[in-house]
Amino acid sequence: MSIRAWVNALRDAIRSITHSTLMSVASTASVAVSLLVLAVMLLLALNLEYMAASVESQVEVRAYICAPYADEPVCKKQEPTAEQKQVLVNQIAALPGVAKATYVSKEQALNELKKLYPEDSAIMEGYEGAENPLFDSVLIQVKDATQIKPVAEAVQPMKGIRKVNWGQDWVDKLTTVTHAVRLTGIGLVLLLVVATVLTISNTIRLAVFARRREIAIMKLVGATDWYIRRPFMLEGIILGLVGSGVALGGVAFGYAKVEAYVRTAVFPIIPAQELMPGLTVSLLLLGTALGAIGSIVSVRKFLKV
Amino acid sequence: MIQLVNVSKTYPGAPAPSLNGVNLRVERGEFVFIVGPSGAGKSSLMKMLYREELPSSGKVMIDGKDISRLRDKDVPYLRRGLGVIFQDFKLLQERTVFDNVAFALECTEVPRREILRRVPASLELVGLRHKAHSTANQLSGGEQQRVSVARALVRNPVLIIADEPTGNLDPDNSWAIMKLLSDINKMGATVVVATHAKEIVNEMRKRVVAIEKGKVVRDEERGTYGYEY
Repeated sequence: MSIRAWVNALRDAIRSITHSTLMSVASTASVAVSLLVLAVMLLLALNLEYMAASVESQVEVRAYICAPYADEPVCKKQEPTAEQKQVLVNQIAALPGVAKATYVSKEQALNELKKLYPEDSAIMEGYEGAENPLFDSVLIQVKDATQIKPVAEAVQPMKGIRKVNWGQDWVDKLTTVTHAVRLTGIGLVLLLVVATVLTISNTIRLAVFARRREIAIMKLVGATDWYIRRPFMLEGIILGLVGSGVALGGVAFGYAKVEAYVRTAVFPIIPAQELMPGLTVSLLLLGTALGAIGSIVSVRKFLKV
Repeated sequence: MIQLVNVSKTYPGAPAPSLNGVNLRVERGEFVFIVGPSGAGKSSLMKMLYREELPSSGKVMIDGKDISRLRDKDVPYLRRGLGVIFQDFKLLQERTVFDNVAFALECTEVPRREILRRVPASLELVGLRHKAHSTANQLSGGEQQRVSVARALVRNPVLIIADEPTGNLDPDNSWAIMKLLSDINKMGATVVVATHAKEIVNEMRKRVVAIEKGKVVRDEERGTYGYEY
């Protein structure tokens, strides 16, 4: 295949795109919207997974110790003695899967709270000493995330333990959401992909129709199907590429905004520079593929002479 | 050059076959008129020759090859060796004469230098070199048909197939086109012309094959048209 033939095909493709501006814009927009939704869904799912993973890795188990003002029946309105508390800490530390068990008194807990919310420290002054509503607790660090559940379940029945808190419900919720996002994402994207292929194939069909005489003559003088198909393929690919470019721009802009916003909210989010290269390549490839498929669909019929 | 063996063609839904057991042999370098009333099967026969249509049964041999058994992807290469001319010229109206002729070479990926050499030569042959830069729709019918002849010629085909090439032309232009085809024949190409041009057929005295109701009913060397219309 000569370079000239490609140049001719490209010229024909561009001529056709500029000739039917409205349809070209519609196709491009369709590609852009589909890919944008695809990208948003993908980014959402990836980030939720990332979040779940980082929550899970940070999860610590906190076992609260009974106090007279605890409502749980297991406590029987009693508080273990300092010695009993020490025994409890040692017992927990000896459990398999536990890396470290630290005793945190309710005074320490209040101080941590003050540090976390300095603007409210004045209010918290009122809860010093005997007024402290918090509980003594044991902060348990596990060796790895899979140990969280067994450790929590082993600590729960220990005497003097009010309740055990751990991030599992958080992680579960995140996983459920990730699942839902992934499912709706896949459904939505499939629908949009079909719609996009149809829009592009319609645009190309118009282009083919406008040139049907030319195509008939080409066939008669012995042009191969590939020669005839080439400009239309190129047209589809250009529409797909431009569409994916628009989608990419939108995603890059939007993600930067979200990243800047979320950063300040101390949420874990995947940095843009880690995501963008892969996303760029896959969106451009997808756009090209959608364009090519759309045009093949519509040219095929007209080639039957 | 051409050999039709027992070729029949029935279109789906048609009450009678368009071609019914046609046998025909055309030697290399012959000039043949195909005549017959409208609907007799002339066009079907012509379409078999450049594989626009496939026979329902029988063999269509060109250069010893059965083209009815050609794979679809090999059809373009068959057509590159043929020159086909139509009643309605089939030109790209908004393109120039030069482009129309060059088109046949371009879309079979002939190098540019070759195109620039061959197109003017072909236009010279049909006497339209001076109109190379006019667009097709600026030309008269006769001139347009000459462009389509130039397009058929530009690849030096061994076989020219003309399906009622003078159907839309006045007598003078018809004569000019037929003379042109005859000249091309003298230069060595085999020419098959389906036509209703009674006077020309009678005057030229070439081989005449008459078709009626899908059958060859007459085949004469130096024949005449033989119909009143």
